[in-house]
Amino acid sequence: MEIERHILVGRMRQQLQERIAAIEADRAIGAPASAAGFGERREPGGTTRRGPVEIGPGNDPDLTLARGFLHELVGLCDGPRGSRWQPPASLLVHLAARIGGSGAVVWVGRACWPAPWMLGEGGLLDRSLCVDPGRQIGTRLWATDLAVRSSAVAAVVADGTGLDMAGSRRLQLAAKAHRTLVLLARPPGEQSARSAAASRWRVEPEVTDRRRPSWRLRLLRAKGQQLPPEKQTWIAEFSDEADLVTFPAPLADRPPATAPRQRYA
Amino acid sequence: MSLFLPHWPIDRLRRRRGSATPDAVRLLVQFERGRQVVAARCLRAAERGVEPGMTLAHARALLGRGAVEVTPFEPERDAAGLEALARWTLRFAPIAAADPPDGLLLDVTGCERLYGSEKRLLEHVMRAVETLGLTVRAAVAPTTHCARALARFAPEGRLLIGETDLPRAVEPLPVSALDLDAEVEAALVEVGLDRIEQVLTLPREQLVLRFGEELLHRLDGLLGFADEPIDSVREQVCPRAERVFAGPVRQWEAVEQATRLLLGELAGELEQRGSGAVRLRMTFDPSEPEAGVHRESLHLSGPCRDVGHLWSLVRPRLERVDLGPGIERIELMALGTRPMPPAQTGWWQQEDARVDEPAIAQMVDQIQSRLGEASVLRPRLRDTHVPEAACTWEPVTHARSAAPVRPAHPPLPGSRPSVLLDPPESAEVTLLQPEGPILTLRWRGESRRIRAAIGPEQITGRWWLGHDPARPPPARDYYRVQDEQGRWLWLYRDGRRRWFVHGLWG
Repeated sequence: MEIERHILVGRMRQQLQERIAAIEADRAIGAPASAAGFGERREPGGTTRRGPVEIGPGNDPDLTLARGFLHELVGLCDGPRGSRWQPPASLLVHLAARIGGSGAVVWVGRACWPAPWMLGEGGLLDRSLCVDPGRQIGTRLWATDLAVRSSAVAAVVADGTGLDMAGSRRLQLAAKAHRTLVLLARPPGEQSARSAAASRWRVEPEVTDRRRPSWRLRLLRAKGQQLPPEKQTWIAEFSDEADLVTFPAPLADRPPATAPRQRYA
Repeated sequence: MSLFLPHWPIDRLRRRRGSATPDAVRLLVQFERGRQVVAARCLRAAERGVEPGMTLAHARALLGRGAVEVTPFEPERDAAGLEALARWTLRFAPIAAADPPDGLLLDVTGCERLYGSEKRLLEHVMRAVETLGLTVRAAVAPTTHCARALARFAPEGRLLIGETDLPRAVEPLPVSALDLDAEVEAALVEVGLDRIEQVLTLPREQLVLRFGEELLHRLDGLLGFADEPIDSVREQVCPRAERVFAGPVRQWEAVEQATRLLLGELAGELEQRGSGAVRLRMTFDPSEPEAGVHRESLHLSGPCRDVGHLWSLVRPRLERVDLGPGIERIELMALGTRPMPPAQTGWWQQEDARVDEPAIAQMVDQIQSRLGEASVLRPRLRDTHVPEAACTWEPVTHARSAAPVRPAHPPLPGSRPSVLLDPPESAEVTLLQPEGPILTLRWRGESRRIRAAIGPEQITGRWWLGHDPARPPPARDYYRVQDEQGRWLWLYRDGRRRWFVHGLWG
């Protein structure tokens, strides 16, 4: 009897969870849910939720890219006249670690493999798998798609060089169906490429006097979500703490927080 | 028939690992009361006087200069390998067994007819074993005891003894050929009985009284009056499923359908045995033998008997099969299996409790079956300060390492770059003074002014690895520098004052 009751309760719980997930997924893209924005809802405390981009409340905001969406991060220029580029590895690690859980994180494409000592945040070292699909874009897309569809994978970080509209749509649909976070690193030359990604960010190095690597994140677009202008540009800073990257100041029109005054004993 | 492999542990290791330096002397060592003692040695070491039981230091002193490969002695693996070798010899005789230490016993009664004569059978077996790269001595004799003693102790390495020659062949052997207890053997030697013939001259009643009954049993075995049965190894039967068609089949759909059904049968058999397949072989026999048999092998990252997953791996392989003249027989065989505990499936499993291993294994299998085994890697940190040695990627194979090793003193997170360049790229640096601050950096054909620099952090190489202890490898001075566009790079200057970019923060 007891076992039967457990089974029944378990099934009901599962059905309920599935319905909630389905409603949430529909609300997330495109469907206007409130007057606050397209597909966006402001919650008490100032948290912006129900969109591809989630921003924490209050004076200590943090940036989270939501599961079930495809996000693109346009990387950093390098080499003469931008002939080479660099994926924003630190940000990719931080954003992949932020979604939590214990699912695996798959890194597709050698270009975006982070150095193992970066993977301390969120226990990523134990649950990371690096896939080398070779140079062909078709194989890379196939491997990325396979990883996104796996039930054990929480996030997929992939080299998105040369991905076309059809490919990105395929990934976005798979991400939505399996509630996986997909982060694509793209070269600066593809900043205006057509894509079905839910959000696209530009990452550039930021010159600061804080003696640590800093980057400026600019939101180029977020599908089905309108963010206030002051939340469209972020300064990210490399950190020595548990989190690899912190966001000391989310404002575009103000310089980042000044360096702590050095004390001499 | 008895086979004796005098250098089995060494030969086994050489066969398994190969050798980086073929002319190196090989030693196997084990710990005995806190000392490293030689357990086995190769022929070349034996020629220079190295004996089992010597300390490693003593052996090294005897060997002098020259490459010496020292490996731990693994008796359990040697025994397991011997069992496997015994199974392999079942191709020559229906009854075969491992005969530790370092020997095999085969009951070849009646088998000589297949080869023409016992002599040709003996030659055939020895040649086959030698092809495996093993040193072997062999003897065929009427009883197992006798064959065993002759293979191990006779001066000739290849002997064929009939019943009439038996006493003459056995008599010159030492008493150790009787395989007695150490005490009895010592007692025999003490009274001057070194060889079998000396023992045989004594009256049997006296032998029983002085040395026990066991001696008589052994003597009878050796002289062919008594025999012992061989406890044979059994051939391991792999789970398999087979379909033979009535005639040549050329339809693709039929082959596909049949393979899928066979997979179901195979999965059923695996389930009955409580195991999962880790290695799968498919054989497609064409209706015309000239066309050649087509074989496909699959390796899985973990044991599996899920038809859906196996099918997703098998299906792409089917496309390689040439249906040309038609297929007559399909066979699926699980060549490698491992026990698979029944998994708890269903609703009460905790979601997100841990990484879903089967799902991960399925994804890894699919990628590896298309892109090769080295396409899926796991990041690992090693406990070393040398940056390029600390960061490694190891392939995900079914021999999965348990917990990863954590460095005891990990570097500060901020002090290491997010991308490590392998190999480091050379750069040109201008300094204000010989030891002064860095002004400009020219790298990848682009000149940059340096805004800020943090350093140096000195990292010393691994002096204990093969280098001359008097001259340790030079230390590197690492700097973290920021260029005028805000990009941060990880530079180092080596012992010869050359500059390299080793990484960057992206």
